Amino acid sequence: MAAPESGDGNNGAARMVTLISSDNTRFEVEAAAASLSQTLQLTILDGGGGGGDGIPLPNVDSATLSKVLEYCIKHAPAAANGGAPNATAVDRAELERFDNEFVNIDQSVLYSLIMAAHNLEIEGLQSLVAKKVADMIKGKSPMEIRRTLGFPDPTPEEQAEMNAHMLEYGWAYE
Amino acid sequence: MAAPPELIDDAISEILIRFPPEEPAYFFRASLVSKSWRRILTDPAFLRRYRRFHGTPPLLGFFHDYSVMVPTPRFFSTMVASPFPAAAFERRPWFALDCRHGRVLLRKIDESDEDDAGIEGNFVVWDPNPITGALADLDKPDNPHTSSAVVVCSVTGCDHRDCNDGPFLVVCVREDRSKVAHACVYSSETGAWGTPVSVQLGAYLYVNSHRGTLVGDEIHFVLGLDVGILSYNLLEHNLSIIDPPDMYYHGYIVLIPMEDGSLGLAGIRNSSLYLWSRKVNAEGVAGWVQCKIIKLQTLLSLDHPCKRGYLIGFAEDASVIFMFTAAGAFIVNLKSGQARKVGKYQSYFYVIPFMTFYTPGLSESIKSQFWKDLDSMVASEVFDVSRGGKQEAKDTWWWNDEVQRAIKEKKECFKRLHLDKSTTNIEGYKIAKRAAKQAVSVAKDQAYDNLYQRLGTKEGEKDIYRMARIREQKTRDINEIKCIKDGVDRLLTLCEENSGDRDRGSFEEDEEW
Repeated sequence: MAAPESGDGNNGAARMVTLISSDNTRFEVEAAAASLSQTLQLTILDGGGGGGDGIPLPNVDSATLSKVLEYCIKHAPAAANGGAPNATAVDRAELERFDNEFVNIDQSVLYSLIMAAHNLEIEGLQSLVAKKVADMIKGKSPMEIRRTLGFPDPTPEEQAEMNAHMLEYGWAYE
Repeated sequence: MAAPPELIDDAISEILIRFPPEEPAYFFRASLVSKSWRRILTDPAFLRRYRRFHGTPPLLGFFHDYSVMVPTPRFFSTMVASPFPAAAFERRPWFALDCRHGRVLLRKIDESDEDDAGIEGNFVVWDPNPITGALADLDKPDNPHTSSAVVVCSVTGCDHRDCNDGPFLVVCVREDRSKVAHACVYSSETGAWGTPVSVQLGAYLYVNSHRGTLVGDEIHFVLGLDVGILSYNLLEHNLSIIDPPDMYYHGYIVLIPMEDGSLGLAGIRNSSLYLWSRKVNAEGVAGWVQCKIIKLQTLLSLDHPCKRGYLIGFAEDASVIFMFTAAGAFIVNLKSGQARKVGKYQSYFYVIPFMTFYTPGLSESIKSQFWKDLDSMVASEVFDVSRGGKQEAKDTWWWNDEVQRAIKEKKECFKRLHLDKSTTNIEGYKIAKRAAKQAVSVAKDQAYDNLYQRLGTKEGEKDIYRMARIREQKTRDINEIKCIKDGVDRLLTLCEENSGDRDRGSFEEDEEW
């Protein structure tokens, strides 16, 4: 009975890659998880990131990267199934629960996650975070949106322009 | 905390694309956050992506004509916050006939003084999106009388996600005195109306002015009195009649496209809503299959039985129907079974859904120009509409000599035209009509400008009260009973109101001033 072993063959010796954050912390993850990133996938397919080399990610700090990897590791098995067409309802519910909790985080982390998801081109994470931010800011006033996203206060010039538009759009605030 | 890094445009657009299209005002607010946000939200490429991302245009509300005789366009918003100027849909010189595939079919209210002209002016096809937004003015068909009309995209195999500026068809139906129903089709590609087709109706049928329903290649119209369905086939260019389910309905029936591509029918009988679907059986015979019965009381979550209800419209893409009962007007979602009250009880005629992606334009001046264009395009020479049983006084306080002269000239030309339809007379009338229109708009703008400036002053305050009082008096019943005398002229009752209260009350009602 060789079938089970050959089926699980990849698992036993799953290929690992090393990612290096902007503050020089090294993360070792399965290649399958890291490959959720379109950016990393090419490098990994070319055989990069293995052994002592590691892939440097100068735009992502360690706190953000660990969060990103948490998402990738959770989603890797479903992604390997080709978008999980045969996943059970329980599996999907579990992923949904994970996603909901995953984005339930401090705004500053959420913010860097948006950037990281874009730099690394992780489609699922991009849309998950974008949806969360959209839900947070939709319906808010321009100033509230700026504050929610931690934008610096508008310059007097910007403020003047904003006020002028507000007057024109007055009816949109009723 | 250090300031977070500036978000790149791609990341911002990923967030903004997830804004719900049912609430366009959210977009307008977001467009004020910063210059770069404004740039993204007004970028045609982004807006195209946004439309594709969300698919079918969202339902923003319903137009309704609150009286059969006097079509006064009104608008029911289904939005939390409206992105439209407060009076955008109030007393416009047009009424809506249909809304489909991102376009709205409007009909000008032709307020010419001549009685034979009626109120049915030209058709206008309107793309309400301020970016691609455009208006197409159609000539009248040979016979201007129209019971119902629809606008459809004419591209075969189109998914209607981005076809606002593509070719379209307008299908008009009407019946004549000998009970023959006619259908006539306008094609934007040829720019002309085609040859009409017709079918004989039964003695107790007439073409209802409800909005038509597109199912596959067929457009279905409701026939009234003795209920029936008139079907126009777009490919075969012919008309046929379908019998509705063998039931009598109190109130209107509404035809809806079903998810499986069949024709659906919703009707109310004995305080329940019935849903039907038209299916073809194994022998190839089409018939009605009942799919659902829902008690109105349950459907509308009322705490008392609901005896009567009237179906008055539908929005297929949002899977909703529009109805009213003694408890008010409701929007009912057929998929979720949820009902939402949107208006108080009154008699409603039929309603036309307003479905479009309404997004911020390039600049506010372009947008206000857009609303102006819409008006001038459909504007008739006198703005306030009064037709039918009760003639109201025409709003003429701002008329000056120039306007009177121009309108007199126009009337003369019309009379000449009526006697002799020669090319010179037609041209003459056209020129006079244009001149009258222009004189009216100039005079009116000036009059209103003066008025608004005056209202800003202390002296103007008096005018506000005066206008409020006049308006209030106008709305009162003529035969108001003030006192009743007995046989020997002795006063029995005296119903004197407190005049101070009356003034205050009427002022509150007239906030729009």
